Amino acid sequence: MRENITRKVFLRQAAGFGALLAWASLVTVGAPPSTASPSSAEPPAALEWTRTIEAWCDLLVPGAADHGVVDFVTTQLAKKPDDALLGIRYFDWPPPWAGFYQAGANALDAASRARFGVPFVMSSGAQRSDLLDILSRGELSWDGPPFALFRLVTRGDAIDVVYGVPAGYAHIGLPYRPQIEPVTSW
Amino acid sequence: MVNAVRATSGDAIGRSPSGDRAVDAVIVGAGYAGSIVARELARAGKRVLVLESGPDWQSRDLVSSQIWSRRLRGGTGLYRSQGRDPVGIGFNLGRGMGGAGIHHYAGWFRMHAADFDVRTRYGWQLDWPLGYDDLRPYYDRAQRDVGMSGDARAEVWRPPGAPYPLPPLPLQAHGRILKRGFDALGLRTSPAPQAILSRPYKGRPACDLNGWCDSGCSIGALGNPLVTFIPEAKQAGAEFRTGIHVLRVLSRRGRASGVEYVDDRGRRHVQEAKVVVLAAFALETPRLLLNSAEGGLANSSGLVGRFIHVHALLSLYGLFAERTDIGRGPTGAQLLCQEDHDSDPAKGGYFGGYQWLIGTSKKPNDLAGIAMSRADLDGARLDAFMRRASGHLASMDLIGTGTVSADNRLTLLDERDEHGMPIAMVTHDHDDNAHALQDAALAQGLEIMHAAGATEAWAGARATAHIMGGTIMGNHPRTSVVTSHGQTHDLENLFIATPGVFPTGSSVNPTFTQVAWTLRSAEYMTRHWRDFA
Repeated sequence: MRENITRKVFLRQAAGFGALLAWASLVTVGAPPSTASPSSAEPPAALEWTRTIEAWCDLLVPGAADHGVVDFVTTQLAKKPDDALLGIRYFDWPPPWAGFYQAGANALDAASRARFGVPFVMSSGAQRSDLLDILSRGELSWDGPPFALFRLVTRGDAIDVVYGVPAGYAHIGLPYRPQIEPVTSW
Repeated sequence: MVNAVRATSGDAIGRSPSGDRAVDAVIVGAGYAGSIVARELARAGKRVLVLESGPDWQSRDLVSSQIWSRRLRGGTGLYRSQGRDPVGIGFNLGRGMGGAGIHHYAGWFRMHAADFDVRTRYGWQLDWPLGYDDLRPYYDRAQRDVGMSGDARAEVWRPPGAPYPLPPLPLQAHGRILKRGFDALGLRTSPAPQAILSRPYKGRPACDLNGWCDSGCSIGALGNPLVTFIPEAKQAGAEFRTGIHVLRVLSRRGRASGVEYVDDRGRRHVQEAKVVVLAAFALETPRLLLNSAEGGLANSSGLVGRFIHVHALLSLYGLFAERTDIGRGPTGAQLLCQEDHDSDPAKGGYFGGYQWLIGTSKKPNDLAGIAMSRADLDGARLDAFMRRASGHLASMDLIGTGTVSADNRLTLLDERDEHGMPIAMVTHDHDDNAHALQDAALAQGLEIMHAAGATEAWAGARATAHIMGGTIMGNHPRTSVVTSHGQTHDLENLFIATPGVFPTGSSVNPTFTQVAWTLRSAEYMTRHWRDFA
């Protein structure tokens, strides 16, 4: 999506309980063409970033791919921001948020290519772990949303689908005890 | 700041194509404050209309899920946050009937008498234009209205007032474990006072202790506006409309004349009223005022949007050998410690104070969930932590005095929302004092955790909680926006009822004070109606 229109966006710190890092005050990120989620009507390039996000989330939280993290993210991106169930809304990042995910996925691919010569989804498990360590230490160029925020947001999405649903509660031994059980997970 | 006014004068707006029938009072926002004012004015026989931008939530919509809870939050995309210590906006705001009240944790604490005049006492921050004795009867009334649980006698720091109508909620394992640490260090604790029922009250059931406060208590044990003030306001005759986006307060010849709004079909309306009450929380209210006139309405002081303040927040965590059952109990706290509430600078180190909210229940995910307590963990290490922490984690939160500065403020940007209103920027920095307070609390918190027997103890990131200020109250029109009753100094029939009127925030969660203050303000409105309406 780098060829898409770019715009300057004021990036504000990840705030609230999650204020972990001071971000750059002004960066350039790729802006999405719309808030719409990928669908069969969208070009293959639009789906590419979802595969990257899926592999990345599965690295951060094993099981995220099988538990539907891409479905979670894309269905929520298709909603009006007020109705979206994504954790990114707690970090005061201005919607629409598709550009955040797409730019992050592009940055991951670029970093993977720079380090291993292949896009992220083509890298091995060991390479992905290495890339996470290197990026976390800030030892590799990152051309996307602030890496720490990108990691925090996508990690949160993965945690939602793996641990934030009744099966996830059961997995860690925490009784769900709902007052009103959700009809769908998201 | 940009010139915010999109339309022309109030007179021109008066020719709007779809004027609505005039009412006695139009209230913007259907949270605690809006529904309290609506109830009181409707009971006094006034024709009251409440306009709410979000959905018409019912208790049955409050699904037990931290994922679904996010749709209850408001302000998405309407504000930006910046500064060294940015205000966490998205987590704090509400949206729809009940406002932020439907996802708040219902820890209700009285401000102490010395919190109301810290300027006079200590030459620091600002004084309130009223004292504890002025609010005391309204605190008492509020706790009867919603049904509070607690143990007033055990709260040795509590200022005088009526005992709680209900006994405390039962203590859970993680609260009991953390109490050991306080006991060992000679720090007194008490049951946390809460707007949560420990026994059935007014037809509502007792808390089930399942920790679904954040996603909204669907059983009505937590006294949110959906089960308290809103039905009472409706019963008294107040009308509520949802999906209404108020754009401006209209004014003519030094008086408010109504509001201009867009309905859920995009149609513009004018609602005329004898009295306008802004109860749209601490951020939307100054955004509205700044968008309502050149230089801002009710802004002769130049202070609309200034003095935004928050509490310093810090979460402490410990892992314990025994089972903590951290999923049980209310989300906000089980126990309270206010040993360091006192602002007296003679104690040294920092000004202001803090309280510990002890034994906060946790869900696995979300901003305040188990996984966020170790945001550094990924992969297999994260899974191992989650499985261990679900049975053995305990946590407590610090709420500390924040920074009060005119430089911490809300301004309007050139960028506009879908209805054409300017997006607002909120700028906030803590001063060194707030950081010193957090440093001291961090050291004490770790000591408490270890004294309680934690095998590992750590702290989360420094953060902010609660949003106050922006339309502060005071005695003088040059140094404040509203009076102690929320009446704007500039327009006698324009009132503000939000925590935005708080000049300072003490170190206690603000909702109880907000509710008590609003009851007092609403009583003033009904008694003095003929003077300003």
